[in-house]
Amino acid sequence: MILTILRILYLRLRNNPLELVLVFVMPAIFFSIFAAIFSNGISSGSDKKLRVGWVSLQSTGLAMELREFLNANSSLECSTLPALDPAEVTTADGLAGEVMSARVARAQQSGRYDLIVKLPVEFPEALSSIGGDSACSVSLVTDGQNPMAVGMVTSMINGFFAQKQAAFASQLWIQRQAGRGDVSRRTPEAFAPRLPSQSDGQALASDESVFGAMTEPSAVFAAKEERSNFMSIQDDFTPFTAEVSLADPHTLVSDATVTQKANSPTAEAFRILVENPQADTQENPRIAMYAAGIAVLFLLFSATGHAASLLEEAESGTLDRILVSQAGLFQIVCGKWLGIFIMGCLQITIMFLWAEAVFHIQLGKHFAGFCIMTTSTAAATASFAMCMATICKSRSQLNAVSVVLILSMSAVGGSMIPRFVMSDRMKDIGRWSFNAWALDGYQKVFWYQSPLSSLRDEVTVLLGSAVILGFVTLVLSGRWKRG
Amino acid sequence: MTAGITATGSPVLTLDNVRKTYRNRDALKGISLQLFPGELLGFFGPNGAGKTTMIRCISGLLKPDSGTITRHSLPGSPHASHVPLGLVPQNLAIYPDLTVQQNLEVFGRLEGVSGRVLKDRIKEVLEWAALSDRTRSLTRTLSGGMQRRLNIACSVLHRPRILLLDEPTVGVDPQSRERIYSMLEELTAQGAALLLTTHQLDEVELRCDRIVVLDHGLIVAQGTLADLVQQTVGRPHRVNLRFDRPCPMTLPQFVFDEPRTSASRVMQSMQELPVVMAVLQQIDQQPSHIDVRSFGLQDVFLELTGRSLRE
Repeated sequence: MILTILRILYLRLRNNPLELVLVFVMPAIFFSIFAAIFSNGISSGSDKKLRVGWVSLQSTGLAMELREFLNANSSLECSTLPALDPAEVTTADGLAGEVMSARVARAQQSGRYDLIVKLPVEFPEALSSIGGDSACSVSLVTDGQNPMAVGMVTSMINGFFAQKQAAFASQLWIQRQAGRGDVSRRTPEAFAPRLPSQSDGQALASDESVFGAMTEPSAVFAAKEERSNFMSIQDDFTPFTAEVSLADPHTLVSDATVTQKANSPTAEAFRILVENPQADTQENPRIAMYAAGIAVLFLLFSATGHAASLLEEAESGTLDRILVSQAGLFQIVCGKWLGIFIMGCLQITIMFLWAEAVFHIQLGKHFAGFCIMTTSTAAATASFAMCMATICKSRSQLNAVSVVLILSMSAVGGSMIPRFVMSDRMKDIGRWSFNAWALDGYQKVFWYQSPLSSLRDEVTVLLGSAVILGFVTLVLSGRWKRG
Repeated sequence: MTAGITATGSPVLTLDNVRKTYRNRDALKGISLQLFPGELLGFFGPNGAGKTTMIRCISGLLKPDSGTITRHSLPGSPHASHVPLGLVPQNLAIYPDLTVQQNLEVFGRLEGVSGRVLKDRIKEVLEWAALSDRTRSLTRTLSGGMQRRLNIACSVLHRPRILLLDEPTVGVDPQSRERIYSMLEELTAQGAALLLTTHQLDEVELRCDRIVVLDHGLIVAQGTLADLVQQTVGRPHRVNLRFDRPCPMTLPQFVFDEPRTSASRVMQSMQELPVVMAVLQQIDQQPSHIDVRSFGLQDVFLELTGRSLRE
């Protein structure tokens, strides 16, 4: 008997290809999606690099060295921020500082950078020119999405300045030991910080070039002999002690700017400023993003569930009865769509109201943007659900197809894993889902606090999809008229 | 069958040479018929004969490839297209998660009935369908018979002049079936024209004023039951005789089986039976059992459509 029961299970599964897909293929699909995200998105390997934007008003030697140092780091992908359009430059009054701020803001909103390194106009030409009233400061502009980026880049820049300091100290030390003031014969490379890609051998070669530049063998010997002493001196120049909490971007920048200071006396000259332009006005933006992600995921499921009533009515004959009544097919489809749309708006609103009540996400402050994104998202999902219902031939088929599609879209679209941890390629793939466009829009509203005009792309795509899929739905729903 | 209004006068519905190819098959090959006010027209045929396609065409859900379907308006009514039509699908086309009252409300509104009129109609229909005491019950909690009655009730709120019923008594007990036919008789008494498809031949025999037999997309016979019997089988009675021992002689027109313990023949008149009995008495071959059966729709149906299985 047990075998017979097993056989029934087997036969039913075999005769239902969609269920087979759900049982055996879906896990593989999901594994592939998450594997792709984690291998190309949150990888600890070399595939995923930290995307650092670079903007500098001065192309000084020291700035170029820093850029070269960052470029050479295999864990970074450092690129210069794109220039603004001429029209945008005009709106920024053409002032260099404002133009740079506008470039940074634009770059942040693009979501293409984990962090932006910004060098001020007074960035020094060389290390030797620092002192007195002059200071060497580097600004790290973050939107708080990737707190690890701040820590990593801070450490790298600290390392850069530490090596520069060490090289500078060694120069002074050598001068003192050799009793000479002329160090100009040494190659400049000797004082450059060791690039992350350089091996110990390469570093030694650089050292040899320093020593080789000394004219007397005794001086070289003395320099090599005292190398260990030099290292202990270098320890005194350990430049920075980070006191930054990386756990939360808000605490990181609670005063909008945190200055990390060096312990050593000379380190007063070096400063790394961590900026988050939205910090003062942000309130739990990450919670808002989670609320949006979960809301969109469940919205897709509930919308499809409601649209499935069309198939249930077709299967039961209720649709025939309605079609024979005074209601036409257009009215039926529009009525269903409107119902799903209203339900969607309510569903997202309740989710955000709860998030506002419990997690204080500042819904009221961003209400206009929230309304725009919510109506656009609900419209798109309503059309998607209706379209799915008209394409599928039965409720069970719709269930299977919608589970596959919605979970896939949610996985690549950011409802399950935040989009900011994904690689650019995964982000681009995610743009084929409603989730990505919706979440990008909510991100602009709650995280970047961008103006409403910045939602143009998201709203266009979502509403455009709603119109196109709605039209497809109307065309395909004719099959119920045609029998 | 006690139809209140005789099916005469102007038809309310006319089908003229309606043809429809459906799913690469000639579902209707030129159907022509008329439906009259107060008439209950029984429409039956084997599975796949084209009944559902014809109902969908009449109700407007399908457009015929050729031919015309005309709904005739009442004298004085200008718009033929406004002749109200109701459809009772074979499945329970009601919302199981709504109450009886709510179902009636929504389907009434879909038919354009609202306000006070709708309230009155719902009350009226609830009594008609014997559901007055279950108005607040969820439909899914009703018995099968109640659900069937509600299924019909939802289609008559707008008082249709033509009501299409696709097997409305499937799966219900005899009591509910009786009640449903009482409801339908009331409708015909009020002048509604009913077109009924069913496989319950006894229902058609007993209840319908006129019968249409459809097969392979064609009307193969139509008329009253007596007409159909006359047109097809042509003999009114079948006589079966059974014997305790094999019959030693041949009886005129009787067909014997082996081992000649039973025989049967069709008799045009029952007056022939005493003659046969007299012959049998002479040879001391009295039958142990005599079965005289009138021809019914089953015989007509099999005569017209054959005995091979369909679909």
